[in-house]
Amino acid sequence: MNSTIDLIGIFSAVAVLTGLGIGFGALLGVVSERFKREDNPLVEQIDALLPQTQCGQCGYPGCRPYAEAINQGDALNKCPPGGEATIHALADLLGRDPEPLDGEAQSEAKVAFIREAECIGCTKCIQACPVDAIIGAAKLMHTVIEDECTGCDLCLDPCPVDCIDMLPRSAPITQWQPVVAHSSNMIASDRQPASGVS
Amino acid sequence: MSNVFDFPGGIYPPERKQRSNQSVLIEAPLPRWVSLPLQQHSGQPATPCVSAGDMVKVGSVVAKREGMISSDLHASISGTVREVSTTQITIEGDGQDAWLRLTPLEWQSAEPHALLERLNESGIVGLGGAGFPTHIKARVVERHTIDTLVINAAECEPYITADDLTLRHYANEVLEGAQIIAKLCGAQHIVIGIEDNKPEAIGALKQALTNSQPIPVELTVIATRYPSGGERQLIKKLLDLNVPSDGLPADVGVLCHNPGTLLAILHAVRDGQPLVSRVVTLTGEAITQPGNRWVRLGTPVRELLEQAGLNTLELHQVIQGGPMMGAPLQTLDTPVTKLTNCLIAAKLEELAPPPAESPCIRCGECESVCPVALLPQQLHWYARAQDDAKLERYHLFDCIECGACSYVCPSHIPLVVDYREAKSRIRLQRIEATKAEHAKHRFEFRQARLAREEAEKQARKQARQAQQRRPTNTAAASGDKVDLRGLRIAHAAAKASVKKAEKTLARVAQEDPKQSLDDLEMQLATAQENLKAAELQLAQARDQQSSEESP
Repeated sequence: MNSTIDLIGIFSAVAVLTGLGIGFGALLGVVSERFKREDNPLVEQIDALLPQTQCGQCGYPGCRPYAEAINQGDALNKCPPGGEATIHALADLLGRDPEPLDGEAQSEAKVAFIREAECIGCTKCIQACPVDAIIGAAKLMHTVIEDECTGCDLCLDPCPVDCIDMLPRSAPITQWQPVVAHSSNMIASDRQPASGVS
Repeated sequence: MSNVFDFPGGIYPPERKQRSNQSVLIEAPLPRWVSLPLQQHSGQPATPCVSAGDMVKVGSVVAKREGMISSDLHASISGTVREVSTTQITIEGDGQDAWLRLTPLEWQSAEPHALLERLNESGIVGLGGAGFPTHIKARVVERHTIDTLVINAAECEPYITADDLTLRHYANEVLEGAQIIAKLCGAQHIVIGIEDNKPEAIGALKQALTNSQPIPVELTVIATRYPSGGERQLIKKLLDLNVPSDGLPADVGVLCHNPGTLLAILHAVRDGQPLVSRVVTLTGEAITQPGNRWVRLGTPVRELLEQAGLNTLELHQVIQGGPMMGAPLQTLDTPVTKLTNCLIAAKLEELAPPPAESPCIRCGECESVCPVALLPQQLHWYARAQDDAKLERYHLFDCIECGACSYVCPSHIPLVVDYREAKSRIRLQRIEATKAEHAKHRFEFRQARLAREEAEKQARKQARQAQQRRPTNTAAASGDKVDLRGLRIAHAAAKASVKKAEKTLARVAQEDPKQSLDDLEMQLATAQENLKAAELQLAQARDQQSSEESP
C-alpha cells in the first residue's frame, strides 16, 4: 500500500515537472519567435563605436559591413580614422586584446575641398561620395558641403583632373579644448617662481 | 516666506569688498577705440553686418544674431569701423559720442511682443556671468508657468561690488526693470535675495520697495556665504525649491535675473538705449583708484586699468571675474565684454599662486563644502583617469564650478580645473558622436537610394523584355526559383520601419518643436526608399511567377 502511494507520488512529481518543463519551453519558444530581432545587437554596438566616415580604408564598403566583419572575427585594427581610441573601445566591448593600428593614424580631421575653377563637371566624385556630401550636375561645377563631409578621401581617386584637396578642418572656437598639463607631484621648494603678465 | 532655508556646503573666503565699494559709481572716459568680440554671449556668435570704413553711431547694430540662441551687437562708441575680422569688430572713435537710440516704449501699456522685440534688438544678455540672451529667457513662458521672479543680488564672490553699487545708485530703476520682466512672464511675486554684507544697497532697496508697482516686491536678506549667489543655491535659500538636476529654474516656476540685466532692460525699454555699456568693478591692490565704472563695451582692459592708476611693476596678474570663478587674463589688450563684471589687478602676495599640488589625502573636506552635494574626491579620481562613464554617473555636469572644493583642499589640488577639462572633453565627444550618427544616416539613405534605383532599373528591364516576349525570358526565369515569401517579409518589414520612423518623427516634433528634425526626416526618407525598393522587387517577382505559371 505504502509503495503504491510512493509510486503515485513519484510519478505525479515527474509528470508535474515534465509538464512545467514543456510548458515553459513552449512559452520561451513562442516568445523568442514573437520578439525575434532582425538585426544583431552586437553589430549595432560595434557600429556605434566606429567613426562612420564610411571611408572604406578597412577594406569593407562602409562602417557597418566592417562592424559585421568584426563580429565574424575580423581584426579590430583596420580603422585609421578611429585610431587607437576606437581600437581600445572595441577591445573593451568584445573582450579581445587591442592590437596596434594597421596603417597610418590620421593626425587631424580633414575636409574635402574642390578647386572650383578646375572642376570639369564629370560627376565622378559625386558618385564616389558615401554620404552625398558633394553637389553639382554634369558639366556644371561641383562643390563639397563642408558640414556633411566626413573627410574619407574617396573622392580624390576618381577625379580625372585632380582638383580636390583634403584640407584640415577648422574647429569652431566653442569646441576648444583646454590644454592641461598635470604637474607631477614634486616638492614645494622645487617649484619655479610664477611669472607675471605683461 | 521671509524665513531662510539652506543649501549644503559653502565657504567663507575673505570678502575684500571694501576696496572697491567706497567710491561712487562714475563713468569711465570714452575709449579712443573699441574692439567688440562677436561672441559675448552663450550660443552662436553674431554675424557682422558692417564693413571696414562704415560710419557708426553709439547704438548702431554692427552684428546681427545668428540662429536661435544668439544676440545682436551694437557699436559702443561713434566713429569709423576700422576692421571686421572673423572674431571681432574694431571701431575707431571720433570723440563725438553721437547716439542712435530706438524709440522709447511705455512698458505699462506696450504689447508683450513689442517688449520682447525690444529686448531682442537691444542685444541684452544676462550680465551676471553666463550671458544667456534675455529675450530667449523671457520666452520661457511659452513652455512654463512662472510664479516668482528672483532678483539675484547676492554677489557672493569676493572683491566684486558691481551689483552692490548698481543697487545703491539705481534701486528704483532695477525694480522697474524687474516689473517689466514680471509683466512679460506673468510672475506673481518678485523676491530680492541679497547678502547682509551690503547694508547701503539694502537701505536703498528698502526705500525703493514702497514705490514699486504693480507687483509687490519682497526683500530677503541672507547671511553672507559663498556661493549663495549661484542660481540654484539662491532659489533653494529663498524659496526652498530644488531645481532638478537637468532642468531649469523655470521647471519650478522661477526666473532669476541679475540687477545689472534688469537695469539694462529698463534702459532699453524706457530710453531705447541698447546694451553698449556696463558696470565693471576695478579692484585689486595694484591699482590706486579702485571702484566701479560705467564702461563702454570693447574698451581695452589696459586703458581702463591705467586710468585707475595701474602699478605695472607690482602687478602680478589680472583676473577677469571674481577670484573664485574668474580666469586670469593672458594679455591686457583684451576688451571689456558684456560678461566682464570685475577686473582684479592683483599683487603677488595678494592672490598668491597655490603651492604645488600634493596627492589627495582623502580628508573629505571638499565633500563637506560642495554646494551641490557632489563627491568632489570621486570626481577627481575619475577625471584624472578619464573614466567618462563614471564621471557622468557621479553627476559631473551638475558641478557649478564654484571652486569651493579647490579652496579648502589641503593638498592644493586644482579640482575645478580637472572638472572643466573633463566637461569639455565629454562635450566634444558628444558632438563627435552626433556627427558620426548623422553621417551614418546619410550613408544609409544613400544605400537605400541606390537599392531603389537598382530595383527600378530591373523593373524597367523586365518590362522591356515582357514587351518583346522573348522566348529566353521564361527560360531564364525558370532557372532561378523566386523567393516570394522572403520578399514579402522584407516588404512588410520595410512598411513597418516606415511607420515606425513616421511615428518617431511625429512624437519628437510634438514633444520639442524647436529641435532640429533633419536627422529623423532623413531616417524616414531612408525607410521610404527601402519600401519602394522592396515593393518593386516584390512586384517584379510576382510578375515573374505569374509568367511562369501562365505558359
